[in-house]
Amino acid sequence: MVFRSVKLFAFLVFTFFLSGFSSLLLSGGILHTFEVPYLFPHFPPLLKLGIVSLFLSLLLISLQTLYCALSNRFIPLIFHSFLALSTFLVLLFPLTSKTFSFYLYPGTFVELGGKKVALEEVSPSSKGFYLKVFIEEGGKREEGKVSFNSPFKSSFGTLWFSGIDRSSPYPAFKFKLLEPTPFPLFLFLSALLTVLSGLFYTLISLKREG
Amino acid sequence: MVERLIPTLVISLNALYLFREIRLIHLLSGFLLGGLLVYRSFKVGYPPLFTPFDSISLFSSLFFVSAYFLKAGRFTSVLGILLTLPLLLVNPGVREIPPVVRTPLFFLHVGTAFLSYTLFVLSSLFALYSLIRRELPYIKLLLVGHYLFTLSLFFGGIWAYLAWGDIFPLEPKTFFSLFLWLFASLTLHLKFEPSLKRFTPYFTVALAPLVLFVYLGVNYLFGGTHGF
Repeated sequence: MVFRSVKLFAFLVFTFFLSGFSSLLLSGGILHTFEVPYLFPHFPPLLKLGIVSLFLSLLLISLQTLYCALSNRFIPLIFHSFLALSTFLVLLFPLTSKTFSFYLYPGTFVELGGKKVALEEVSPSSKGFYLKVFIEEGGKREEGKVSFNSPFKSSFGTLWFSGIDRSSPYPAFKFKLLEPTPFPLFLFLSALLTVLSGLFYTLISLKREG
Repeated sequence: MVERLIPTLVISLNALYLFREIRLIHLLSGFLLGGLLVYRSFKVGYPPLFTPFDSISLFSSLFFVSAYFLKAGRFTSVLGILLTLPLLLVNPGVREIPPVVRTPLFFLHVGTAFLSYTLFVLSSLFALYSLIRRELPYIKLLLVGHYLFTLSLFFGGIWAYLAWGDIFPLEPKTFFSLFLWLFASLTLHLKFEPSLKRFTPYFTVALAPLVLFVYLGVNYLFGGTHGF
């Protein structure tokens, strides 16, 4: 019964604010969620505490949402269940997925976890750049193009182009490789069902308000 | 020239509203600021919603149009003037269009966010009015605003994944946005706890400064990936 309490929800929201705000101040900028699991052991103790309490507060909010959903009627049950699942997946995604960040010059390649990633061609366009790349693993090669907002999806993983480092004499292209994982698809479906059921729930709530 | 003329006109019209309540002034103000956005989109060749000038224009425009349809009164004009005033101070220049914003997801994310901001601020004003004079349906506005903000987070998450491969990086804007969403959720849940129910209008009133802080304050104070 205590776990259904709005007071507990208020406490968790307050904890979320305190821990998130202190983590931001202590980190002095942006914490990329995929980097946190790797860098966490090297963080100062206070930042570690902030990140752990932030993670726990969101986890408890998602568990409370799920617990409350179970005693609800159909539409609120669906909405709260998928909302809880989406929050849970957002937390779990960076913890269970492996990513690599690296720079490439045109015509060069890098080997990561048994995969060869190469940048073959660079085509400037009004939308920035189109980069021709390939990923090779076990003698198999998949070629494709990558640009801003359009990652290259292959069976060896997903490749992003996220910027250019112009501090060196030759511009270096920044990439990120995510090992194959079903998480993005699950998360997308769960979030989509959250917003769809949320629409019905909002309409029902509006009708109830009169 | 046009960039200074239209905000001045909107401010003058709303100053007039304080003396004579002509409701059409709110609609006209909304259309004038919306027209300014259309004009600048043609001028730049792309809707430049990533600049502070244009995002303030969009916010003020949506605010005035919503105020008209919700039949809001003088207090709305005062807040509308305060929202439009920065347009006379902010540099309207556009340097370049960042490649990362060239996606329909940008408009879906920003559009739903600004609509929800507008509804949050108006629900806040209605709640304040309910506390002072008579009951207004602020919860309904809050419900719609909350849903639109959920949509904005959904589109933002998809965009962040496609652009950076990260769904929710911990940076000032995303953190405060999630806090705003949780705070609005909490406000909507207060009625289920008898001892907290009476705090609902006070929590709703608190949403307006929180929205203005998330929208204007965060980027200026903390920076982050949302500052282009």
